[in-house]
Amino acid sequence: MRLPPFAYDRPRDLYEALELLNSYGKDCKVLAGGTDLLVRMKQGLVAPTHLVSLKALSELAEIKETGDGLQIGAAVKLSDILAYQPVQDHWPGLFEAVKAIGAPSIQHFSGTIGGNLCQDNRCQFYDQSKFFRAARQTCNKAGGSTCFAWKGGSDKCHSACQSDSAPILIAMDAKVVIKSKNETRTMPLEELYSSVGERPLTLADNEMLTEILVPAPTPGAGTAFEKLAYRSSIDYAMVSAGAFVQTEGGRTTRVRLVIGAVARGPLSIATVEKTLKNRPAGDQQAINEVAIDAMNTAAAFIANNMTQPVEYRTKMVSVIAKRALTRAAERAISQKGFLEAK
Amino acid sequence: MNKQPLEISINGDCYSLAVEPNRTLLELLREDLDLTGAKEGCGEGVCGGCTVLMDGKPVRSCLTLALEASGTHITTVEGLAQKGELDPLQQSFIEHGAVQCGFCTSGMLMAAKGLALNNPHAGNKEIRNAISGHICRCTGYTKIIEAVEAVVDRSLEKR
Repeated sequence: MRLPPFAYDRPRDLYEALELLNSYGKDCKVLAGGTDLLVRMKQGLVAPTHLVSLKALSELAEIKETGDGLQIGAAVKLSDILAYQPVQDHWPGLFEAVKAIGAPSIQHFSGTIGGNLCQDNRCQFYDQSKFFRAARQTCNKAGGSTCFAWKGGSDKCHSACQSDSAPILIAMDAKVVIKSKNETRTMPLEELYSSVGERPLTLADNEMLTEILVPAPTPGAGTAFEKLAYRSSIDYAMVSAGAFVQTEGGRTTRVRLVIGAVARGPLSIATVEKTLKNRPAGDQQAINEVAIDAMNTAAAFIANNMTQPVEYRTKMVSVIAKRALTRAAERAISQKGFLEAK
Repeated sequence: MNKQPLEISINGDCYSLAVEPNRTLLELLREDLDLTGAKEGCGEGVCGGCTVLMDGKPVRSCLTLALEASGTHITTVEGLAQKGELDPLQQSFIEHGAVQCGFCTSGMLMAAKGLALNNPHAGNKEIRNAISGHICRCTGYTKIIEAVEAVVDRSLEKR
């Protein structure tokens, strides 16, 4: 498959890159690892006239641990996150999520964390060749006015957000730094997602994700990520879940559960905290209740946007949520901070 | 579109080229330099047939712009054999019958080479992980894994 023609820029610093984004606007795309963007360009889903390469921007390729937690440049390669010892030691949930992205020879050395967070939503009727798409009407996401993934059609796009790193990062209350030529803003990662299938990110055309800030690990906290896919590599998730559990004296004090791959953005399950708070960490009955809640919440969003049946994916939400919460709780209570308190 | 300059080292030879921005590394290798070892299977990063080593690390050449590879060292399957002698991995693939139709072989070899360079004493699990992004429709993978394991074992014996 050939790439359509475009102009290529490789700015030497971030300022120059933001300047280019500002002047090209919507005709321009940021090229990091290219494992998502170049495929979509080959399929004719996006046709930027300019690509701005991040290859020379070493300031975006740095990962470091600070007093406040983890600071990850948007262009840090996924392999560098996996190889970074503090991530292996203190952020097991993030490690699991990054490991689950793509396949080693795609993710490890090309794909970036910023690219994984900023990938476009996916749908089995949209992410196809021009030839395949030509057999049907144009769908909402491609600029038409119908949706094949939603039973009975819809005036909205029902594609799924397929980032594996987003659910766990949101569960851990990660923040993102967004820059444009004249402005820098820091916001919770969940605000990066618009939950609009046609345009899943809240980034303006002249803005770029530059940094991800992950809070420092607290004693008595645990994280875990679960992904369900037919194959352990390459495949996108049918359902994924990121969980964060904070315990004190063996009881849950704070918890977040975010379900991925089922809705137009990562799906935070709001009732988790109410159900689990002050109950013993890892209490299976409580976790079962939450898992059912998660399934019922997700059921309203799951569309036929993957080849796997909607009914199966819906049921699996409870299973994947349960696994993630259980493992996060196990990690929380096995940590030194808790053992000493005991 | 205007061509842009590209300095690149491929299998030890340095090239100064001018390429179009939309040329992928795979197209550059196959069409401009006649290095047809890397194959285009799917063209979208799923099959692994186009894998080459960039600075010793496996990447998909179909999803790498040629210009993005500027200043790097590329190794293709043609660069594995040294002075007419096959790389131990290539020899092992032959001995173990790890090649059937051969379309995935160059990608498999490059993934295995990347693993051998980065982790010379990889176990079965690491080997499976390293080739997990590669699709083979003939061998059922068993022979390929055995072939890579044999090379890893041999390097252990030498120590």
